[in-house]
Amino acid sequence: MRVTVLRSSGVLGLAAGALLAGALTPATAATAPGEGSAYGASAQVSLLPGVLGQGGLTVDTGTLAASSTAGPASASVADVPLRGLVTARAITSAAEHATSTGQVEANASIVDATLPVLAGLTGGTPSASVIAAKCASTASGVTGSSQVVGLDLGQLGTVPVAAAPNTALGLPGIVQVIVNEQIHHDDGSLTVNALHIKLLGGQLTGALGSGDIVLASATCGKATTPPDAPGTPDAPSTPASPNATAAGLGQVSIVPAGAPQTGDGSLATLIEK
Amino acid sequence: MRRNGFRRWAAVLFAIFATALLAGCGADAAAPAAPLTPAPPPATPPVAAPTWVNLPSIGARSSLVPLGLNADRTVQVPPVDQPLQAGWYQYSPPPGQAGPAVILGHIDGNRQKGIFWRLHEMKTGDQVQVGQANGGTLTFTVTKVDQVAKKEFPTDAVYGNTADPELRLITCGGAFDAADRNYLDNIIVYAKLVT
Repeated sequence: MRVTVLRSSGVLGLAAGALLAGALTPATAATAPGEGSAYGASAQVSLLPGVLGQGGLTVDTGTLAASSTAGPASASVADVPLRGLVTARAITSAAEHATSTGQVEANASIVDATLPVLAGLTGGTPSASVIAAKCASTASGVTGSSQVVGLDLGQLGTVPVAAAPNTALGLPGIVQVIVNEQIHHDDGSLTVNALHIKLLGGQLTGALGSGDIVLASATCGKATTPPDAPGTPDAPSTPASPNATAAGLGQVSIVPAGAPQTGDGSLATLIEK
Repeated sequence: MRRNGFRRWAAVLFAIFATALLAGCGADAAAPAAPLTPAPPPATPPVAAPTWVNLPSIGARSSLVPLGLNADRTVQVPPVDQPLQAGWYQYSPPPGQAGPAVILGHIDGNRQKGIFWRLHEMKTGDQVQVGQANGGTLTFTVTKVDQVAKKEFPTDAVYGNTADPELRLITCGGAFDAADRNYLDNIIVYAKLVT
């Protein structure tokens, strides 16, 4: 199990204020009907000295492994400039607009993540085997959900696999962790952030710094009207794909490639036909 | 204060996650001891993670380790040197939640019979029990047993959405291609929750 520490050349010394000016929540960009987007991770933070190494650290990663209905439809990265704030084995995202049904789906996931940035608060480096967010739009509305598997944040609490929307943990004045953050925008679109870590400032003992880290984010605009009017014989009243049922969500958040390899054949001669 | 609330959560949820935290590869995820006293569940409790699976008709029972993805995006399987260990694909819904919960096990490994050595003998109507981290037991009934070529793996049927809670048990089968060190088929058991 190879674990890649995600790092690259970061920019030191940017003013924290400048970072905070650019809000992470993608509320600024309108998401029109039929549009969707997702990204694996994003960090805009300014860490105090000693939180991760000797000096302070300022990071602005932009959106990593970003995908969109405007393209690319999917993205995947294994080497991400998160400066050791967060590590992961794989980060992927995908966004799709099915013009035949009008439905929009977007998802993002992170496999085998660790969060060294929180280690000082949680008494050990927190890890999660899965951090995933997804959303889907159908004629009946826009829905979203998150999955965070195995994340223990020590004194901050343990994160449920399927947390209720906008479940918040944290230490006042230091850090707030929002699980399954769901932001409904004025244009009817929905953003789901599986994990949103807000560093709240540097005044209190135990402070980490300031800024935002978002892990696994998906945004879906409203569904579009299918080109075929209802009643037209061509109109797919029942979606052909089982992944487009009532809720419009993929219940399996990541569909694996290929077929499982479950056996080494060491007894194969006994069962060969 | 909030922290008390978090501790209550932690107590309830520790059992659920103990298995996941042990995960790695080959960790023995035998049922963790129930910690502390039960606290009131959250308003909308998530479906508990699965901890064991029992297939009485073929005499197979195993704890479950969580399985993720390999770097090539194929599904992880339990360590092949522990062929009696089954696992739950953690990107699938937990058993008991709407959707296809996927459980994988080896047919063989390390010159021993695997947990799903006899999976192909399962019959429609057979029962499958799944234990949950909250102490619950779910019963599923087999609706279909399939043997399919790996190169025609029925991704939609296995991983596609379902209206109700379902289960997929998967192992290898068919002829073994010694050159590729690979079984040519998969055995797939489909089951649905008994309500």
